[in-house]
Amino acid sequence: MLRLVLVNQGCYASSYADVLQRVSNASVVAVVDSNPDAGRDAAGLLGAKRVATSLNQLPQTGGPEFDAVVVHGSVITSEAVDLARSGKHFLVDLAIAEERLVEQLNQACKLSEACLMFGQRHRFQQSLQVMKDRLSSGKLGAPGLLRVHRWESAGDDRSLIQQVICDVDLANWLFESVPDLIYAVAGGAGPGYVQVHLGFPGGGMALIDCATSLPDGSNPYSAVTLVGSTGAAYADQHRNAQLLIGSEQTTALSTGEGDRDLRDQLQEFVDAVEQKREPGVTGAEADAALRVARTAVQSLAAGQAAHLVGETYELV
Amino acid sequence: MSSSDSQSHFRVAVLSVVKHAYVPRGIFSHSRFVPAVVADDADQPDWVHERNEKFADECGVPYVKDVEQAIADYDVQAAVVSSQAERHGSLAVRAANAGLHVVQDKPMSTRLSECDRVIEAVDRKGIKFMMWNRNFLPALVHTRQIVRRGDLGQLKALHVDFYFAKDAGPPIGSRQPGDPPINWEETLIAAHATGADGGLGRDPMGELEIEGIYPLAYIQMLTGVQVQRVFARTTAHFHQLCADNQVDDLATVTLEMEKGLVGSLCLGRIGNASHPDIGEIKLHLLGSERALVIAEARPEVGVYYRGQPDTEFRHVRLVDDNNWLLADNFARAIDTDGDTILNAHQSRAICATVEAAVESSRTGKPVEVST
Repeated sequence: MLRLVLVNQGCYASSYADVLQRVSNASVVAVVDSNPDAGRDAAGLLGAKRVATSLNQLPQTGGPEFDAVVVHGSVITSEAVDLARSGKHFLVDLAIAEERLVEQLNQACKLSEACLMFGQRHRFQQSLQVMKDRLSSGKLGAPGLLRVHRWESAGDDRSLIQQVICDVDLANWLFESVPDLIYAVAGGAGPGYVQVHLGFPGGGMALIDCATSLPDGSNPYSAVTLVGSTGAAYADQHRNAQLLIGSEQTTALSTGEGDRDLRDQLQEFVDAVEQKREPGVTGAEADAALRVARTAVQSLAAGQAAHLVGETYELV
Repeated sequence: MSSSDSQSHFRVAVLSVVKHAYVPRGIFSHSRFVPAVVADDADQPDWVHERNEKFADECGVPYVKDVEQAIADYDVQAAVVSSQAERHGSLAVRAANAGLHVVQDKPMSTRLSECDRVIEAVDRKGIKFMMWNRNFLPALVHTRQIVRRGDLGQLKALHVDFYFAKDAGPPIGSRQPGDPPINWEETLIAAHATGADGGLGRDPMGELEIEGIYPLAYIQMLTGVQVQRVFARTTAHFHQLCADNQVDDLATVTLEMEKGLVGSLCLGRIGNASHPDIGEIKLHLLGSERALVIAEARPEVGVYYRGQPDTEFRHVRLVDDNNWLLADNFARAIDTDGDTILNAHQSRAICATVEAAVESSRTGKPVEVST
């Protein structure tokens, strides 16, 4: 049984409470949240005995020992690095891969042979799992084109890197490669908008359009299309729309995929720790996605395309 | 009131009809336009004359192997050009010089210099020109209404997916060692039987050149602005024909437009197996107030039955009046000295965008679009 500490999962506490019932060999023993009230609420939902406002404070709370730390969207602290050095396993969001201490966390996990997995829910979304499965089994042929639309309302302030890195990783994962060509634009659609155009070795290509400019309160929208040489897959929210018919207007509703991606991601982490194997999203993959996302931001600023020359991207 | 209700007829010369004949058939779906003659140059090969003659017979009009003579003899006011692609510009210029209004099949030309010649002739003679397009499909008409009403607020970004689920001969990688490369023109001539001969001509053309006009015309209509800069990636990913002739069958294009608008185009001839119907064609529009996702095929009805042939679309498009509405738009432009839905200047801008995209793909750099 892997004993987990959840860090800053306030908004996801109820989701975790739901998915943990269906995750094998894991339980939450502690909750860390900078907001004490949110922490207590989350602990109550999750049945955790220990509550702290920081990882630093956790040892003072007493209670059961823990094996692994699941960090959502918060900064990585030196205490987290210390815990990794002592052999604690970590699941951290890919979106925070650009943080200064993530590299140290990666090194610490390598030295202590602890598992470090980057959370990247797109890879665990069932529709995209089906897409990947059909691609890997050869049904779609060689991947040629990945098209991603991902739109949401502003929400929290995210950097451009945070905005695109998960979809960049999705492209790398599907093409099983890193791009050799990167170009990004925002035009007058920014801020809150970026479009990343990737070229992959062998002629593959990806177009990722990310907007955080939907009106407040809008539901997020996504559409992912993968065109291979012998088939195509359309993971498209538009296809899954239902109709709500009222006196004034008919509204489209989306039957979403729920939190199954969260559950499968957590199960993958638990299994990787238990089986002492590489997790689903490794430090090397996170580093590759981060390099591409950083280069996209540079391309955006310079108005130039970046080409992979040797091991580095150069603007041309 | 429809312009067809009260106005006179336009007698039409069909100047070469060697591809699928949807353009002349489309124009003749409107009662204002009547076929008067089919004509072509005498020095064209036999297969061209055979196809022209067949269409003339279908329409019950003469076939004349002399374009200028036919125009002089048959009292025509308009011309439909549906020849091999490299002859589009030349035939359009000759028709315009004779004072005929011109409807032309895609692409406007395989060379920008030819597009410029068409514009010069059209402007000098004051005639109407329309590139055939899909802007009056019901979903596009609906989209235009939504955009023009301002429901989206200020348009910020516009993306079009245009995946055409048709094969183009054997799949890539099928050529055996020692086999000669597939001949473009011979293959496209043979493809007439299946209607997959949109790129018919001497010069090989990528899908971006052949089909790009449709999605780019959507963007042109919905935004009303020019594309200024493009970044593109193209490849031959599906068909040996395209690989052998070094043209694309899959393309992605980033579009930087006037007024800060950004957009993109994903386009490909992705093969029969990749979609149950003609292909996935969608528009994504992002505005300051709302966003919109449109499936170009809708409205449609699903029909499935035992023994259904693979070649039959499972979803049948409904209330498609695109042909009639294009013809009506052309008639109104002539009647009122107004503009057509896709005039010569707009068509030239689309060709320039495509040319810049091909150049960008070759160099791996963003390319300014020629104005």
